[in-house]
Amino acid sequence: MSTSTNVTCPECGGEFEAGAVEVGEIIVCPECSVELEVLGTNPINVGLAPEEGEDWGE
Amino acid sequence: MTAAIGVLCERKRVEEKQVIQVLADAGVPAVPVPPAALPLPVVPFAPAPQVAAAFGATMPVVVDRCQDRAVASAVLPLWQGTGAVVIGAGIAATGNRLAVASALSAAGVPRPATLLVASEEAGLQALETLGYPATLLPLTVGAAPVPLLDRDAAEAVLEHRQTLGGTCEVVGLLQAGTTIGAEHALVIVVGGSAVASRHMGNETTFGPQAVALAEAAAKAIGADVAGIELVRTTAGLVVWDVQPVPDFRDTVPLGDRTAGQAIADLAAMRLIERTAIGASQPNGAHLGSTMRREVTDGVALAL
Repeated sequence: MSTSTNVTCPECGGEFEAGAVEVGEIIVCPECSVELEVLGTNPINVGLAPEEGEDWGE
Repeated sequence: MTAAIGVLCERKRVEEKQVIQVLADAGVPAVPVPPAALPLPVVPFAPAPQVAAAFGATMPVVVDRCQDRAVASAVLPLWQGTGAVVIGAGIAATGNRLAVASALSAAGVPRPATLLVASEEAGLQALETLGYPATLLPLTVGAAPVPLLDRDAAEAVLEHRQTLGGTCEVVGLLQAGTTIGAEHALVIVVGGSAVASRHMGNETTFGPQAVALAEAAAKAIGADVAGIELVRTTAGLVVWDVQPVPDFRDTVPLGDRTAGQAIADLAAMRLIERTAIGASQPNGAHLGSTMRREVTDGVALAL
């Protein structure tokens, strides 16, 4: 569990307080509503959450 | 009723924010329009009041920034049916990669050797002709290309796509070569002029030839805005692919305007043109003289 941390959304550039999050957690940017996956917490690092879909084995 | 530029997008990403901000700074109203938010009647129809009721403004000009190309290809013709001028990627906005490749070839724009395949067997046969490595580009514009480095990979990919996805997933273009390790760049063309670019692979040494090629490609597909992917092959510089709604946050301006500024300027100019025409048309939204003067001043400042 991490302490509250500011996050910059990689999709819209908006900044927001993520609160206490864990690696792997999916959070939603309050500005653009995109889903973000927490990739690291020290320092906090987020990326676009992978969309569910078929990859046809590739 | 207020007239505004609609920016068709599911969410305001960095690119859409830039365009809307430039327009706002120039005094031009622009609003994001979620492309899938409303049920739309089938053409012919005149939904200007419906649009105005839903979004609080008429939309004489719509900028296509829709990331979901399936949604975009469905709704863009309906927006055009409202009488709106759509700023988009022309054939690449609503057509598939075959239509884009055909238009480029017809215009004499150099492309990699390409074959259309519609089955696993045809794909493997095509690869015997094209050689390895090659790249499978699904027909849907914007769908991720699949590099095929050797026959084993090709068999696995084509078999999986056909078995698990059905025929719609195996139909595509096979292009000779791959972007892996190649000189590869994205050139943003707006209103017929290349305005920005970025490297996508190895450092590129593209110069005026690349600019001319990107502009020729955009013209061939009738695009107001497009991202033209260029790759240097052993045969020379070619147009590898077209991005209908390119990301441009990391691009470098080729002149004194960013890609976002160029798109905003084009949209503002189309708004002026459209509303000047629309003022004499029953269904056309139009600006009041005060707003038109503000818009004109804004465009002059922006340009």
